[in-house]
Formats: sequence, structure tokens, C-alpha cells
Amino acid sequence: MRHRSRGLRALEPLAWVGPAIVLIALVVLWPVVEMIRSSFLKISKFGVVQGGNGTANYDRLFAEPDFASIMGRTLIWVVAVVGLTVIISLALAQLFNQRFPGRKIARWALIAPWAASVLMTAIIFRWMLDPEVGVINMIRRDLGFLDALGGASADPLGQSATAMPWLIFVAVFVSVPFTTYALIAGLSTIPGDIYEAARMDGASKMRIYWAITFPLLRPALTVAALINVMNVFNNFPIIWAMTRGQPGYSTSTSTIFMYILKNRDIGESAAMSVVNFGMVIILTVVFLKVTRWRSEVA
Amino acid sequence: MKRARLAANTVAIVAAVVTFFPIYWMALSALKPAGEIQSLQVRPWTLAPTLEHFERVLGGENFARYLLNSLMVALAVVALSALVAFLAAVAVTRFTFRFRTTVLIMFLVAQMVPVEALTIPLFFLVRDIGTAVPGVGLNTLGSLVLVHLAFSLPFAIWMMRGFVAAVPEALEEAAMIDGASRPVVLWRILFPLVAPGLIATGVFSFITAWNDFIFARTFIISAKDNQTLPAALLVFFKPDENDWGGIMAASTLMTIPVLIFFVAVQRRLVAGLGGAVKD
Repeated sequence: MRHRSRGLRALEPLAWVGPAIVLIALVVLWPVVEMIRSSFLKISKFGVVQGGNGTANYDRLFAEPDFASIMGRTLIWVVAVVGLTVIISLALAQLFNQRFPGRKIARWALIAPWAASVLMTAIIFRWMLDPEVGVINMIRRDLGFLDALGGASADPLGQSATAMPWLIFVAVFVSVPFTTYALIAGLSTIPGDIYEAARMDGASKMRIYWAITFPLLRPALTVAALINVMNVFNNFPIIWAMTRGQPGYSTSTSTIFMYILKNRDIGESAAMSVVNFGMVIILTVVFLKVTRWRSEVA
Repeated sequence: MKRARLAANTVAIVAAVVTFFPIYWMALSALKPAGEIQSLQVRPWTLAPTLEHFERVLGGENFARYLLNSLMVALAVVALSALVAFLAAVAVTRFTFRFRTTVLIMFLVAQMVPVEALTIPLFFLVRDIGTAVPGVGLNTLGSLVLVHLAFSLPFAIWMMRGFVAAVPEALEEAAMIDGASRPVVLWRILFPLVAPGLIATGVFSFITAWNDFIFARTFIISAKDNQTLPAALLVFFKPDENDWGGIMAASTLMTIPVLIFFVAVQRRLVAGLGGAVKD
């Protein structure tokens, strides 16, 4: 009797967590397994499986002339977007945590890019950057940065030197709201009397920030940054809607390249997905190691 | 002190203008007459606002139907995700069991999965599930609920963990000693205490389900009546020339409800996110 009840007790948590495990395993992880499996298959253009292919899909992928530059760009993309997002959000969170008249409206405005779909935001930006009817060129023209005839500089998304910074800007733009809100939330959990004590001891503002605020904000910062790393790495709509990874492959990240390959070679595209997924996992592990917050997350 | 306040206000106003500008431009373009949209004289205002684009969107067949479908899918995902994530969060914070770490790593890995890479296997999965359970097969709203639910769970569980952990266990133990069963304790004591967290996670799952294009286009292939809002938007994208007025009007109609909802729960959202990151 006693033994049986112990056995049941051991099963109890599985009853609570069971539905989540079943759903995630079936709908999220099973397709991942399928993706990995198909990366070793020979698949025709129309999706017909023509048998095993060994590592040929991977060999072809690694032999792509643009592969190395695409992987490098992906890394720059993630580091630049997450880095800028974190810096801007830390400043905004600090600002919005103070009381001043414009705060409420500014907080509301900050929500807007979060509520709008990322795809729509990207489409709106592409349109605002239109060489002819875009509002951003109009502003540049009015300020004298762009002569009336335009020329090549009138199409910021048409050339890689200006397209990439704009893509990064839009990605930061859509990532800042969530990050800032997560950090405001983190700030609100810091008890006020700590500051009181520090001020009594005559600590300067900068010192208070680095000695008290920042360390106490770290859990919130780590979680928010980690979510950003995953989202930005896998982000597809921004680049696809604005440049399709062009000109050439000069604005393609690995996720975009995977999608482009899909129309050419499903097997090679699956291989790219697997490499992509492996990179996110490695990046996450490195991130957790560097921030020493493994226990916080897992 | 006064100068600092002025600086804070200035930065806040600049930030607000920059963040709100694309939304403003979207709504403005939706109100501009067609000629003005394509005009080379770009003006940040319009002297002849028109509702013609909105009429075209609303007059398009089935718009009300799409709206209702989107709403039903999003609300079902929010409710189910909150429930399943809550139970899972209780399990991983209140129990120590054998595969606990494995389960937590599984949730973390699931969060990293790139959705765009999985459309083909997901299509076949939904088709196969459909033969066993017709309600969640291809062309059903159920398929969207199922897939969004599963993809929303890792993040929701992750957030809910912090909330459940923040509630002192002694509270539940006291109730158990008084003879309450665990389900009663969960429902009557723990559930109300983690409500702010449920609101925050609910906002997230609502946004992703509401703004989704990719699943809607993958699973709803032929059933016109089961399409969601993106279908009303995509008709304005044409191979030769996009109908920007229609696109912007449809986007405005799609964004406004979420925006209102967001502003309404804004305060709770901060409280909600705060609980998730507390130790």
C-alpha cells in the first residue's frame, strides 16, 4: 500500500507537466527531427524523396561560395542587433523609471512597435524607404543630404552598404519595446531603501548605478538578452520583407539563405536549417556560460 | 535638477516620436486618397482624408468572418496556453522528479526552433493528425490553435516559473494541512496569486497568434471560411503593383485592437514581467 502510494507520488508531477511535454514534443520537436532526417535525403524539386543522400547535402552547402560570408554576417547581425537593443533599452528603462510629465505618453508610444506585427513594421519601413515615394528620402532631401536627382544613394535598400544598417535599425526598433519593458519590470523589483542607504553614504549617481542597479538588474537583463538572441537569430520577416537578402546575398543571414535554398534544393535547405539550429544552440550555451546565469535559466 | 528634467523630457519625446512614427505613417497612408499615396510630393499630412481604402477592406468578402476567426484562434490559444503553462510551471517548481532537468532543457531548446524551417514537416504533421482528429487537420481553425499553443508554451512556462516560485510554499502547505487536496490548493490559492503572470504571458501568446501569417498560409489552403485576418491583407499584394492604400488600411484595422488592448494592460504588463525575472 505504502509502496503504491509512493509510486503514484512519483507520477504526479508528470500529470501536471504531461500536456505541455506532449504538445511540445509532437508539434515542435517532432518536426525538428523530420527536418534533421530530411537533411540526409535526396529530395527532388517537387518534394519527392529519392532515397538517402549521405552527407551530400551538407557537402554542397559548405561548398557554396557565399556560405562563409553568410555565416559571418549572421553573427554580426545577432551581435549588432542584440548589443544595440540592450544598450538603448537600458537607457530607456532608466529614463522611464523616473517621474516626469512626458513619461506616460512615451511609454504608450513605446508599446506601438511591439503591438504591430513585425512583418507589417518591416513592410511599412520598406515603403518609407522607397526611392521615389518614401518619406525618409523626402526628409533627407529637405535636409539637404540628398540632391533632387537622387542617383544610387536614393535607394538605401538597393545597396548592401546602406541596406544592412537599415535592416539592423528596424530589428533594433522592434526589439527595444519588449526589452525595455522587461528591464523596467526588473527595475521595479529593486527595493527603494537600498538607494536610500547608498545616497546617505554619499555615493555618486554613476556609482549607485554600477554598484547597485546594474547587478540587481542582471537577471532581468540576462533573460531579456537571451530571448533577443534567439529571436534575432531566427528572425525572418524583417530581411525578407525589406530586401529578400539582396543585392546578391549581401543582406542574407542563414535563415534567409535557408529559405532561398528551399526553392532550389529542399535537401540542402534542410541541411542549412540544421546548421542554423546548431548555431543557435551553441550561441545560447556560450551566452549562458559568459553571463554565468545557467542556473537562472535552466 | 531642472535641466535634468528637461533633458529627460526631451529624450522621452524624441523616443516617442521615433517609435510611433511608423504607426502614424501607416494610419496616415490609409487615409490618403490614392493619388496622393503615389505622388512624388510626399507630405506627412493629408488635406483630403478619405475612407475609401477602409471601405475597400471592409467591403471585401468575408472581412468580418476573418476578424472573428482571428479572434477565436487568439483567445483559444491564450486560454489554453495559460492553463497548460500554469500546470507545467507548478510541476517544475514544486516537485523534484527524475527527468526534471531534461524537461527544462527541452523547453529551452523548443524556444530556439526556427519556425520558417519547419513549415514543410508541420504541414505533413497537421495533415496526418487531421486523419485521426478531424478538428485539428488542414483547413481548420483547430490546426492553428494547436500549433500556436505548442509554440507559445516554452516561453509561457519559462515566465510562469518565476511567478510560481515567488509564491511561498508555506501557503500551500498550510492549506494542505487543513485538508485541502492539491488541485483545490492549486486552483483556489496559487492560481489567483499568479494572475499577473498569466496576463503577461497571455499578451505574448495573443500577439503571436494574432499577427501570424506563416501558419495561416501553411495550413489554411482551401477553406475560405476558415481564413484569418492575414488573408484580408494579402489580397492587396499584387505581382505588378501593390495596393498600398488597401495594405495600410487593412494593417491599421489589424493593429488598432492590439494597440488598445496593450495600452489597457500596460501597467499589469510591467508587474507581470517583473515577477518572471524575480529570483
